[in-house]
Amino acid sequence: MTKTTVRLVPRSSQRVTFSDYVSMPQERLSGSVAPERRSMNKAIKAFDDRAIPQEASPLKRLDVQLDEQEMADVFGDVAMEQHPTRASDDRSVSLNETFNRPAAALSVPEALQDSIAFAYVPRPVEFFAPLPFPPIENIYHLRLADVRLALNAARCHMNGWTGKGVRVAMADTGFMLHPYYVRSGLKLIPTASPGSGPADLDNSGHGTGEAGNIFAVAPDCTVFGVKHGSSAAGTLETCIDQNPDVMTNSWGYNIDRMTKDELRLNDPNMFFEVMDVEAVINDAIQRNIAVLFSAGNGHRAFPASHPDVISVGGVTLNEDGSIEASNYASSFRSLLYPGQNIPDFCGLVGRSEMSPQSAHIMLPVPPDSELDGENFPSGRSQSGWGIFSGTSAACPQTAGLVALLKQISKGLSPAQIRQVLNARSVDVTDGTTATGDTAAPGHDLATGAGLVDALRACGFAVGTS
Amino acid sequence: MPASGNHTTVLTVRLITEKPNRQTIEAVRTRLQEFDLDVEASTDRSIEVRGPRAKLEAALGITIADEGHGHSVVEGPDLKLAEPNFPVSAYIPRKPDFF
Repeated sequence: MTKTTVRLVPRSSQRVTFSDYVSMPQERLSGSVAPERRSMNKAIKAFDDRAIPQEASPLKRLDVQLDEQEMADVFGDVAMEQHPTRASDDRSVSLNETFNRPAAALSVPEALQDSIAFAYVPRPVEFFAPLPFPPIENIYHLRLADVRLALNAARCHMNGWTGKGVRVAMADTGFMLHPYYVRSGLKLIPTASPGSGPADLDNSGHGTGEAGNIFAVAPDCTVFGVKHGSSAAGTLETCIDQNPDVMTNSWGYNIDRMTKDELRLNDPNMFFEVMDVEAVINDAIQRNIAVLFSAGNGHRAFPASHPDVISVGGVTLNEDGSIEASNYASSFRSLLYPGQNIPDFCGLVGRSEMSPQSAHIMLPVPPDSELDGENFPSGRSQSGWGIFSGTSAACPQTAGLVALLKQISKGLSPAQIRQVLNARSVDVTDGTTATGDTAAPGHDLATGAGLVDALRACGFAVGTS
Repeated sequence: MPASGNHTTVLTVRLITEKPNRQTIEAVRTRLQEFDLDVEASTDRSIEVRGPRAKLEAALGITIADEGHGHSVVEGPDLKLAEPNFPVSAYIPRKPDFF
């Protein structure tokens, strides 16, 4: 049965001390400061007599939980009405959409009128949400609309290739339903994994922000934002459980520095984790799911080096429109999987000179998260936006492009997708990566096949390019 | 953390087998539940177990070491099961880097 919280406010405003509390007999009372005794004891007893749970607040008010019958017993016939909690759907968030409140003021029972001044039903608070619009900051950076243009996705959208009907699973730090996503009508579904806690709680801001890169390229796809739990393998299994067409992962382990045999000798615990994650990825590949991983930001990252994984590195789009290999992104030859070169191709990533975090793309994040206000010259925070990038941004951009390809041809295998993107990426001939490889004409270690191009890839997939 | 400071660290251990076998996994899951451990995720290839370190070590027949950067399974597992396929290995998952 639904219960209504009623808060009773005593007539006396006399302050009491902790010693008053410890001398009180009511075991139900909790908190460091008790209600003023003389005015509240009567009310407490009245509710005790009815066996109604109650809790005294530090400021001498009394909260009681009443069901429908108890409301009638204490306050008489009270008409309750459902009232919306929020004034609008994108400027605030609340834990409840509606709440029940009395249609008229509650009448304090006569027996309590000498001690209780008034009673009311508390209304759930609104948490003021960030704006759906990114703020203006005086630093060169891209907005998500720029990412769409830079990766040549806008004309794909005009052709109807928007990712519609395609399911993308993204494993990351959590996914807040940011007003940017809500106002844009984007389909982001926070999803918990074993040990993750609430999926829409994102203290970092990384997952909430980087998900925007998928939608920049594939606005009509459905994204299952799977929050990382107690193990990476378990998180990936949760991703597979969502029956996705694409899995995108902006994380990894900086461990591709030795062979598997050496890893087994030096760090058997990590070796078994690699085996486990590898097996889960193999399972995804067998289900024809395209699995993408970030190459890393100067890391030698596993699982990016897994042979069946599509690995995504970084290219910087300069203010003059030129592109070059990002000196923030990784490129390397795998030791865990000899013969594997990382990355396969690239998305957009900033340069390391911009800041320690490589400022490049304005992304939506939860207010007060670690990335809120990141790299803002103004120093502004609590705006619900931050400027950051890394191969964490490049991977979901490319996943968005894969979603377009999957819309065109659902049956495309991960290997075929890799072939399409290899054939139709834009060659990058300048710049040096964080790991010291320099881009050159043609396929190279620094950027693989180059910067992905959505229109060229989709055109190739439909046979018009 | 309780004010007394008697905080018990809860660890996660994943048990994995090279040969997927649902029956074996279910047998292991049932056995672990006897130890009052949190057996939350399982496929036909793996089981994820959470609980206090001492209880995990006793239940799974493993030795856990704190290596500074995190805990590791350094010996075991030894579940003394009739099934030879499970488990082949146990490990404590590490937190990944987000790029």
